[in-house]
Amino acid sequence: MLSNKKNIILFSIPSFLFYTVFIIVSTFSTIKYSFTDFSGIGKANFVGMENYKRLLTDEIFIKSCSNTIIILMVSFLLILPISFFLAYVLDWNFKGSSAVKALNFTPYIIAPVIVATIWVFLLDPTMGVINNALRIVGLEKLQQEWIGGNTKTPYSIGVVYAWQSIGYYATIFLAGLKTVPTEIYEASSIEGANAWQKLRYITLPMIKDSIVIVIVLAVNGALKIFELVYQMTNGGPNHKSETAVTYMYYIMFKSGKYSYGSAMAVVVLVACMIFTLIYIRNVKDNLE
Amino acid sequence: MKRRLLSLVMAAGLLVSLITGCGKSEASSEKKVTIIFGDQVANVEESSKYLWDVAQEFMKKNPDITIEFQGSDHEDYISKLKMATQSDSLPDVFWIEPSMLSEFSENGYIYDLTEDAKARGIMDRFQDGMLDVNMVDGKLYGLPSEVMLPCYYYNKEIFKKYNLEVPKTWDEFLEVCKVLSAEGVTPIAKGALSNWSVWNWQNIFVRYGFFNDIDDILNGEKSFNNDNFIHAYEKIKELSDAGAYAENVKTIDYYQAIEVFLAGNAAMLDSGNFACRDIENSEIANEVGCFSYPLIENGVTDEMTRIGTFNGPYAVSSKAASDEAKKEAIFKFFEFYYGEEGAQIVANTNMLPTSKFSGTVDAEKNPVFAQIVDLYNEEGWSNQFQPYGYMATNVADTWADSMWGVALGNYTPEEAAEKVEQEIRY
Repeated sequence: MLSNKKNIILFSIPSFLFYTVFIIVSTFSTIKYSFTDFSGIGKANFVGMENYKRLLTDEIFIKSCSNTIIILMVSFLLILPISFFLAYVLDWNFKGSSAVKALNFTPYIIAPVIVATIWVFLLDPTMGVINNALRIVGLEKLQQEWIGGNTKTPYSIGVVYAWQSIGYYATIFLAGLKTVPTEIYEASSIEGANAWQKLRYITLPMIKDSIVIVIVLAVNGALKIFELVYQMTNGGPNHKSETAVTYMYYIMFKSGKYSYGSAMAVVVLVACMIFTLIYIRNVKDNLE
Repeated sequence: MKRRLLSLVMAAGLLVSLITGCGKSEASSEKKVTIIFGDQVANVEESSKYLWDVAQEFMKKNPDITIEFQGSDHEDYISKLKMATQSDSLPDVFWIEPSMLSEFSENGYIYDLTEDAKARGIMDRFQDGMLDVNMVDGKLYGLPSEVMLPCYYYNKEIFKKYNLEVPKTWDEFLEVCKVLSAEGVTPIAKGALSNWSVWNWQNIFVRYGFFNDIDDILNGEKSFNNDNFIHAYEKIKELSDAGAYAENVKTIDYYQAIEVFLAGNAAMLDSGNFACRDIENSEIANEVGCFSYPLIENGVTDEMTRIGTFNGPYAVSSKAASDEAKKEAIFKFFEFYYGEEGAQIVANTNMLPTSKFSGTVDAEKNPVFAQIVDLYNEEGWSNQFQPYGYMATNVADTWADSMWGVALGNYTPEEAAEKVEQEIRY
């Protein structure tokens, strides 16, 4: 009965409506506003490409894009190998592995604002644990402005995001690892394969889907980071640590330049779509 | 079949509760009037205690009127207010920046208070000229919320320890900062995460002729990037170069800066009369004094010019004013708030009342507040409005950001002035 085409359409209608109204309509509304001078109050007047031209020369926007890319790279380079390694180790099912699984997952369920507050106590250049510890062991020279400075904040944000979400991605990998049938490993042992060969030629190819999922989610998650930046530095000082999302928020809701913020949103959307298309094209090629 | 019916009924029940849960609750009886009051602090009872206490007393005396507060932190509050205009859901009475009054009144969102305020004698409760900043084309659109008197609080014990006197001039002030900094004591507690906490820097701009030129600047006849304002930025730079601020000024906010001062870890606090209550309730209340920003020699205005009038006003939404019963209740509240009894309640929370007040302050019980009252009444000062509320919110925000930029070494004074100039011309 549920495979009946009519019923399929019927059941899909609520989600479809929801998606249309909140995603499709909002997107087109944003695109429309990006060509106006709407400021939140009063009327919206058409101004053509002015907002987009302004974006090209906006130093803060360019800086926020480069910060976003840094966060993306740092978290990606940390998340992929570490979460896979974690899942690989947990798959051995040693004593206490359930407890370790739960502990690893815990950071992911802490609210991001709290995660940010905790890490401020670690990263603060003056009163933070990291710099104070370096001072105590005599390594004052290694002290850095982990946050609050002009350059290193995006790297710190990447590390914090990785710390927060590694347990989650490890869980996805673990689920993927469990789908690999043990017979294949046994057969390869008989053929004389060692652990490294098993990993490279059996495990990794067979969990390709999980790898794809983790990459998509990790990139998506990193692009959406808001609370970490907002709570740790509020995008400062003087907008040096803004990301595309936080700067968009600042422009739209604090500066009240809805139209300019809309243009920014459109640019980010287009960039994400291009990345997704390239990525999917690549993955398709690799899988074939 | 029964199961299906049961699940359908439950689904319907959930849907209904979801819809009704999202709607507003109407007043149950016709005679009760509810006033929705918007304020620019997250916790009204704590941070705007004067308003809270007056409202509680008012509600006791008028059991048929209920005042419901809706508060959020300043920046969120302003964006929420703007969004509310789009959905016709402004609070009945709400705090607003003076610079927003013209836009709001032009679009018909707020009510012209002139006639009602005159008829009920509310206008007479203020000194002449104090309400000018709340007027648009001669019509009154807002009534004062609180007094805005920036000042430096200082820790008398720390000053005594290093043999320091309260600085009267700018050079003395720099000296005090240098001495404290050399001794490893944070001279001034400040938090960069709170962009708007720039009261005493604003004073510098007032001294360099902010109000002489600002109207021409906003009109386009003059530029914000001018020598006077560059001098003002240079003064901020001097302060920062003298080591006035802690190294972690970039990672704490204003409220944390207050904590730093109250814990005795900073010699001074850049704040104003509105922080009095927190300081009065702390352990170091008896060791705290206050002074207005030190005199700058070669400015533009009279030497003794400072910010010392009101913070943003309360406006009444046109929607609320069209409801006769609500309008009556709102103005009854204003009469109470600005009357003698209301002023006394405000004074009891260690805040300066906005209206004329003839009560006394017990200096033993409220040592800090008594000093604030003396500072407010000090002779010789030319008291101005707060520049921050005088400009559009995005310009004010960029201006505050530019001041921080100079203090933190991210912008030169010229770059800072140029940034504000560009924001004005946007």
